[in-house]
Amino acid sequence: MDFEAPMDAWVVYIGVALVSMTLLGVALGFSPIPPPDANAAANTIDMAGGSSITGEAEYEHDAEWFWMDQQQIALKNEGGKTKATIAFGEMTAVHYDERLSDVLYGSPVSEEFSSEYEFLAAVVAAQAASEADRGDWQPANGEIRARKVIVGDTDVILVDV
Amino acid sequence: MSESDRGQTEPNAALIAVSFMVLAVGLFAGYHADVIGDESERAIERPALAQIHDHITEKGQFDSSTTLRQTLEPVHLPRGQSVYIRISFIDSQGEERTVDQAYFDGDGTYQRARPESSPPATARNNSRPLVVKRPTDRTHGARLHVTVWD
Repeated sequence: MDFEAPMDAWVVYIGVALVSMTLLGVALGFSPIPPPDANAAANTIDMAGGSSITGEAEYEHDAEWFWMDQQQIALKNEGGKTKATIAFGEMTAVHYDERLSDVLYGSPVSEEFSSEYEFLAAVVAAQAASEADRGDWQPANGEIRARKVIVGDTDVILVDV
Repeated sequence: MSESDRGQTEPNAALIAVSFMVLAVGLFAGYHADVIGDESERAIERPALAQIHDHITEKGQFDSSTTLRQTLEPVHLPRGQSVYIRISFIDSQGEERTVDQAYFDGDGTYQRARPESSPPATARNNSRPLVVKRPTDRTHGARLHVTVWD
């Protein structure tokens, strides 16, 4: 059986070399880790914020950095960055106020704040700070935790990332 | 082009080289399969169903003397999403009957009883049972359906 076939050798070599270099470029362009899942983060926050009673939800993520305002959350790692918008309510980032963080992790509002007014004032201040810091990446702690707290007629969604 | 510029390549060697390249690309794609297209979809229908159920029921019962349109406000609905809500039950004849239905646009504004056209294929659905209280104080089982789309 004759397997011989005529080809222009140098054309083949150049073609294969170009394809190989292109594939190498594509391979090197890939990050070894996937980008963080902002949609999953927003789903988690909506599960807590979307309940009419107080609710909590957690989600472990692989983001190294984040920013959030009242409605959007963005996550970033070596694999890329993603962003999602929540569908219910407005978020309050707790990293601006340790007392808010304590409430998020289970402490009663009355134990951390002298009045509901003081709590709501801290919420408003934290929300204003997150709006001012919108787009500024901050270190993430590996877990998103969200808790909905109802104070009077006001729903507050506390979030730590 | 002169004859001296032309050469002969062994097809077997070329086939083996290309096979190795295909194998390498396949292994690379398999190794990175979890890196590509791994982002979750937004699952707004789950919290939307919980939120809507909690606001239209009292002690787990929907009072049929009220309406979805009256009871629900924009704050109870997912922001920026169209929502079609329907409460239905199966009667003794096996027919599905609608107790109430409402279609809200992305601003949470009531539009009409149901959308003019079917929700898009990307719409997400969820449902759960609930109890309907009739004006006669009789109750019966029903199901709350929520469809959400961009």
